[in-house]
Amino acid sequence: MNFLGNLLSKLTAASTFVGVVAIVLMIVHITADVILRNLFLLSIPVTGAVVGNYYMAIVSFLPVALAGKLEQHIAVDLVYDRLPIVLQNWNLALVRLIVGIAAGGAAYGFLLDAIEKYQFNSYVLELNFRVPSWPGYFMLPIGFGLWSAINFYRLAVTLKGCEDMTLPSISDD
Amino acid sequence: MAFETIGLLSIAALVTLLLLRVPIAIALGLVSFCGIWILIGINPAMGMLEAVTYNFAASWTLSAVPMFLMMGYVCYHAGLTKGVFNASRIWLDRLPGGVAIASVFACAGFAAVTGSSIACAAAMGRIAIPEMIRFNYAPSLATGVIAAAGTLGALIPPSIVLILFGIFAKVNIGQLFLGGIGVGLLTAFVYSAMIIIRVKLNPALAPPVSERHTLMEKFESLRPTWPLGVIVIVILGGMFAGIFSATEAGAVGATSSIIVAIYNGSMSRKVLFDSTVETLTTTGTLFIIAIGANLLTRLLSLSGTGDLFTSFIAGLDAGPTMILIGIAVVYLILGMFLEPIGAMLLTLPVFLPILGDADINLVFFGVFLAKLLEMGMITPPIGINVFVIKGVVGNLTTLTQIFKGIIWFLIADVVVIALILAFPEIITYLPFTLLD
Repeated sequence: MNFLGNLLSKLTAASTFVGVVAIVLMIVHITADVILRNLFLLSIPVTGAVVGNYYMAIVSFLPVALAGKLEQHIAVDLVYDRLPIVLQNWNLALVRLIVGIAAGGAAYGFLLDAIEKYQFNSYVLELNFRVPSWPGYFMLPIGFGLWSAINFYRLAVTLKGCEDMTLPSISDD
Repeated sequence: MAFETIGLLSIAALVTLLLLRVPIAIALGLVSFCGIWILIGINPAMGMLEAVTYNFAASWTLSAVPMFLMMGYVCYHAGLTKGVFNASRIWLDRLPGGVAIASVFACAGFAAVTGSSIACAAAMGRIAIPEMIRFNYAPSLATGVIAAAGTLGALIPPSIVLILFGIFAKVNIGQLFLGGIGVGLLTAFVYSAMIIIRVKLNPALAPPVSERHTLMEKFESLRPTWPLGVIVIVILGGMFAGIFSATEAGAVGATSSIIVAIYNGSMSRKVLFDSTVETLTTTGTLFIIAIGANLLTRLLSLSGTGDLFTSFIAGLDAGPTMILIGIAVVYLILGMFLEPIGAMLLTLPVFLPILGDADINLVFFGVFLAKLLEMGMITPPIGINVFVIKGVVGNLTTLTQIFKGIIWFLIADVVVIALILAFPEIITYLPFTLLD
């Protein structure tokens, strides 16, 4: 179980690292385009397509797993906070199951779509330049798949034997 | 089963999932997907899920959100805004409750480089509350003022709420930003007037400050405000002078904040890493809620439930002002329990068609909505800014005391809302004069 937890942690950390790189590159790319356009009347070709299909695909979908790991996805605590602790724990387990299934199902659908886009070598056209767009589609199954796996892992750890249903967090790395 | 019934049952299922504490994004996405599946079949539903998810987020326009978030987080982690509070305090401390008023204007200053009210409240709370306590201000006033003035972060541009509204409702973001300036400044002035009146009536709330400053010292205090000034001038100046678009302004702002932090000696690998990771998690959580809301819009449209709500409101024969008051009440109630952006994205699919039918200007409504949502940040029982301030002050005061201090600011907010409804030009004058 520890192996699986550590593996998920490492995968999430790796996806976060890719996200950090994408943020930094996006800042540099857009700023460089603005400076070149205003100072030298030059524009970096296909900036819009690259920002949308690469940086934004990474920045939007990979952190879904990190936010899941850090339990930062926004939820309504209105009823939950008023439940007795035992019911809270069962409620949490149910939520993990629902999120695991929903995110996992979505990841599967997104993966099939990404494979199809790859097979058709999908691209976007910007100013007569062809920019391959299929790599961005793979960010969806990675982000949602990891989020789903994290939820199933936490659910399994809980059900495996923690008498008080306390949910351990994935070890930080 | 009638299509409208499927739509209504989907909304009931959505509310149930939300009450079960299922993340808003999953609740929205799951219910919408299942509803669309029942209406038009699994393959079109899957196609819609895939297309909406990717096309919404993988967008050039939306890149402004992570970029402005990054700018705010860098300013916050690198401590670029400390000088603003000191300068405001030195210039305003002769007024009754002057340090509290200085806090309001320092928040307004920080708001110009952050799009988030939480960041604004957290950053200013750490700087201003200890100062107010040092001057023997009542803890309820010291904490309440920061929790409330923190909401300026989402009104004064740049604002993440306004960017997301603009993208969702297809409204010019530049116009929304200009509209936000009017409401942000009005809020700051109404808060300040309220503080002066309260302190005049009860001087024990904020004893006069004995420190006196020469004119030279006052001007000297302005020097440490340069980092903030430079960033604000670069992004707002560049955006409204047409040097770059509102979308590009985010990246230019993030670059400016990093360069200023490096020049200022406050940039480190940790500052950059923490800012980037916070940008990523905030972006990840917000965007999938927005995608879920986008799917809900399609479900409501396909099932005809959206039309059902619109014709119900039209049947009430209410004028635009009554509709706005009704919507305000709904958001104030939602704001008591929901995170603001979640509440906005959850409800826009229902409200946008009603607004269109009632011929309510969407620039006006976007800014009006931002103000309502930000009131939700300080209303009990779930006032996120209040929790942020509690985290900052620790055991210095209780949550009840902070909420007690907030009540006066909520009354001031009601005055602001009434003024906006009476004089819509507070919002519309700048955008329709400068960017019509």
